[in-house]
Formats: sequence, C-alpha cells, structure tokens
Amino acid sequence: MERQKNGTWVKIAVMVLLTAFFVVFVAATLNFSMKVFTYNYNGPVEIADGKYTGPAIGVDFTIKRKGKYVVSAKWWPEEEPGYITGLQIKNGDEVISWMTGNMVNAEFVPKEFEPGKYRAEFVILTDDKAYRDFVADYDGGYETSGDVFEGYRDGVFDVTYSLQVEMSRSHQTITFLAGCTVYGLLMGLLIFSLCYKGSRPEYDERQKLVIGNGYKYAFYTLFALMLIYSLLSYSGMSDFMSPAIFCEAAIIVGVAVFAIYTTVYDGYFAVNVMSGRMTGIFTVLFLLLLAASVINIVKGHIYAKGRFEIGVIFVLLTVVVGILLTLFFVKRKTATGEEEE
Amino acid sequence: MKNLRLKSARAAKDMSQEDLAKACNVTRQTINAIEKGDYNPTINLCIAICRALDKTLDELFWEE
Repeated sequence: MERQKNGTWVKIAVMVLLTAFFVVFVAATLNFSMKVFTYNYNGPVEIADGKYTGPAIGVDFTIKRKGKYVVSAKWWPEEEPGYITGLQIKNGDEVISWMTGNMVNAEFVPKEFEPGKYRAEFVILTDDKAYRDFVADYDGGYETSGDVFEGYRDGVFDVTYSLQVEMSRSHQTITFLAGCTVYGLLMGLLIFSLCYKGSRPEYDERQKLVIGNGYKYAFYTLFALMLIYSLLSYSGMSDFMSPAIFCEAAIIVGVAVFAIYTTVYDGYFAVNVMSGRMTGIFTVLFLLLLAASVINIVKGHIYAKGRFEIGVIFVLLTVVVGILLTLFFVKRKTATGEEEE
Repeated sequence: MKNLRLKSARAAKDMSQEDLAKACNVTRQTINAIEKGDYNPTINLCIAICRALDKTLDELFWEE
C-alpha cells in the first residue's frame, strides 16, 4: 500500500515536471523566433562632385540577451551607383562587424553579442581615400588595390537599405531539437509509467486487425496528402504553407486517422490499459495544447503574409486531441448500452 | 449472424460480457462483436471462450 502511494507521488511529480517543461518550451520557442529589429531606409542618395552630403543613415539597437545573432543586410540599387556603401556594426567606438559593396544581399556569420547598446551605420564611400579610411577602422588592416572606384560617377540613385538582426537560426534549431527530445522522453516515460505498469500493452486478436486497418488508412491519407501537395507545388500553388509545416501537418492528420479509426472500432486501448487514466492524460494534454494554441493565435503566429506559420501545428494538434477526447467520452458513455444488445 | 448460443451460455453462467472478456483476456467489445456476429474469432479464442463457459466448440460455434 505504502509502495503504491509512493508510486502515485512519483507520477504526480512527473506530470508537474512535464507540464512545467511544456510551458517553458512553448514560451522559449515563441521567444526565440523574435527578431531583435528590422530597419529600412528608402531614399535617393545624391552624389555631387564626388561627395555625399545627405543625412547619416543608421540605427541604434539594444541586445538584451547574450547569444549568437545573425545580421542580414541588403541594398540593391537598380543601376550601378557612383559610390560604395559600407556597413558598420559598432559597440561604442569599437567596430565589431563590417561589410562593403555597391550591391549587397548578405548575412554576417553568426556572431556572439553581449547585452548592450549597438549602432548600425551605413556609410556612403565616394572615393578611394574614404574607402581606405572606412576599412582602416577595422582591426584586420584590410588593404585595397587602389582602383576600386575607377569609372564611378555623380548622380542620384534610389536605394533601399534594409538591415535585420535576429537570433542565430542554429541556436534556435538546437534549442528546439533539445526541447523536443526531452519532451518526447518525458512523455514516453509518463505513458509507460501510468498505463502499462511495467508490462507491454496487450491487444486482443480483433484489436490487432483494427490496428492493422488503422495503419493502412493512415498511410493512404499521408500518401494522398503528399501527392496533393506535390501537385500544388508543381503548379505553383503551394505558397500557402512551407513544405516543413505541411509535412508536420500531414503526419498529424495521418496519426489522427489512425487514432480515430482505432478508437471508433475499440482498438485504441490495450486490454491491460486503464482507459480512464489515459483519458485523464489526454485531458491534461488537450488543456496544454489549447493554452499553446491561444498563445499562438494571440501572438499572430498562425497566418501571416498569405502563409500558415508554425503555430498552426498547435491548433491542429488541439483539434485532433479534442476529437479523440470526445470520442473517448462518447465510447465510455455508450459502452453500457451495448452490453445487452 | 448473431451468436445467440454464446449469449445464452454466458447468461446461464451469470456472467457479464466484461466477466467473460476478462476470463478470455480480450476486451468487452470483442465479446460483444462475437455475440453480434460482427467478428469471427480465431480457433484459439473460441477455445478460450468454451473453457470459460464449460462448453464444447460444437455447442457454441458449430452451425447446423
């Protein structure tokens, strides 16, 4: 009896840990996807007598959390400009990153940033001396061949300068994968500990047939969805969802077909599984997913710029688990009625 | 086709579908499906049911 009580406390502790981890994981995922800032400057750049006399182009930004960040920059005038643009990222007077070019669409290698204030500045370089002075600010002692400005000219050039600073994608991916792995392990442990009491699930012969059919229909569904997406992609109509999100959604729909089919035909719960406990776990899971979906909807992570975003996966999972829960309850309710038909 | 002989044998032993299912290590729904004629059990399950109800295969599953 005492041993059983201890076991229950362990299960409750695992459940609390799992819930806390899930909340932190969702919050971290949402947080890591945030950009630090995006800056756009659109205007004519006038070069007269080999000089630029317009306003300084730049922006101050703050890094709140230490980590690796990617700086992406783009300036792409429609015609060859009469100058070279330099971009400097400064921390006080120290230049920590720079790039130059008359046309640029590039990303810096992910760089470690300490918390603090930084300035990104676009500098218009109209002659070789200005160019040499600009690159001399950098520790590397960069040397030019001296003929980079040959053939450049005065004029008015329409240019849009874009700058974006965001947390390194590799950092996000590792966090996401680590989160998924730990969550998966905890979930597996919990299900094992709550349902199977140390033994494997046992399905009777009719349930095995139902499970086989469930897999068959799930596979057909997955196959059909992949085929539809391939056709849409081939005809250029697949912009509504990225391939990665579509694959996740298709797998969820496939699993849903399996789970719903096997539940309807009473093959979902093994003979030695306590269906009441499983329903309890699904209820908790449903509430967590519902919370995650609401957060995603409020933050606008469902649909943006004509495309579904990653948040739609939480909504889909919530719907699937909701349907399953409803089926569990309906099945339990109608079970007594079937007894003496 | 409904298996009324199985149903009456079970009732005669005063067993519910749940009791018989536990005795045969299957789900109650499987016993229900056999009684309703929705599922044809394997010979192993037929033997398990016969043992639980003290009947022969002929008595429960042989169609005249």
